[in-house]
Amino acid sequence: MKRIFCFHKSNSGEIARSRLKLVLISDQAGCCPSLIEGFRDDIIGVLSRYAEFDSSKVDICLTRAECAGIGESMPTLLAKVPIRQFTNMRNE
Amino acid sequence: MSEVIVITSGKGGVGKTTTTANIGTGLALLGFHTVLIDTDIGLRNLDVVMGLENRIIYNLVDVVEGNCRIKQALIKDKRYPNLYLLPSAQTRDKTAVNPGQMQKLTEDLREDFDYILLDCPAGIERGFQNAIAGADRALVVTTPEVSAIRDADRIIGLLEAADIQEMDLIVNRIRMDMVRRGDMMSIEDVAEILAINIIGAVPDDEDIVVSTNQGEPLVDTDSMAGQAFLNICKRISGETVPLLDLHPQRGLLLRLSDFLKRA
Repeated sequence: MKRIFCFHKSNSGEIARSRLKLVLISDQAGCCPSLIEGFRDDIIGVLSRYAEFDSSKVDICLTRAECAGIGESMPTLLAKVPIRQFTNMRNE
Repeated sequence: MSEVIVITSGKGGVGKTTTTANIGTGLALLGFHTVLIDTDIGLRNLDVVMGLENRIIYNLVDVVEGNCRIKQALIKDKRYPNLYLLPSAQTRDKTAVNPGQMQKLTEDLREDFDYILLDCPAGIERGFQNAIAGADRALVVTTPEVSAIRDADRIIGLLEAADIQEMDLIVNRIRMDMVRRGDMMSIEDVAEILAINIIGAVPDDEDIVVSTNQGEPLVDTDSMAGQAFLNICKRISGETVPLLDLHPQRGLLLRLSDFLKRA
């Protein structure tokens, strides 16, 4: 019966795509994926002292990028953090 | 009493890692304390098939080199209370470990586990020698294809030479529609050629692709492949389970189209 009413479960191909991105980046950088997860959590922790933002919208990834001046690509951390409002600590 | 089982095939791409993941999960589901060891140093994959890649901190080479204790490197699968993974190292090669060290590792793990499953790399070189070093028993995975069966035969010879007494065959990716048409060797054909006990046959099932995409073994689902893997787990533990009927339920339309194709 399951075969006849074959509503495809979910888009598991999309899940595979996003899992692979993380795995390949950590393989190429020679670090473990749990390190990248750790990066993300710690960076969110530090940034939240200075600004208000939705942590689910934070996009942090390790990639390879050409490094200015050296001319070779190295592991590079890219972070996109949409900030709602800065915490103005001096006025408090 | 604990048992060390190596899952091997000789040929690559026949489903060793998928088999290890599903049999390991199945044994854990049956209540056995189970640890899976990925011995494919440099090309680790069992972690992604299990969906545990984000939890790796230490690996097999770290344990062998004494950079950490075994317990620190074991990843506990939170979905199944009895299941653990010892991942491989990605940035080293097969020579980072020797058979003596593997033997000691599996010996140490016997204290805490009922089943120790070793996912063997393809080939017959150092990686294979490492994986079989501590094994009591072997599961040889093959597909009903000429190349895979030839390699399985070679592997069976090497396992016998290494004095591994207990050996069983898993015929993976069988397509009963092709067997019926006479375009694929049957389970019986493979058994006859290799002269080894068949512990189970797993159908070619697209649910396997979905399950690997998601990093969730399918042994606890009602898919055909899942049921086949669970039956294999029961047989490993000594239960007698009849071979699964792999003929899928076919509707009238499909049977009619088969008839027309043949006509």
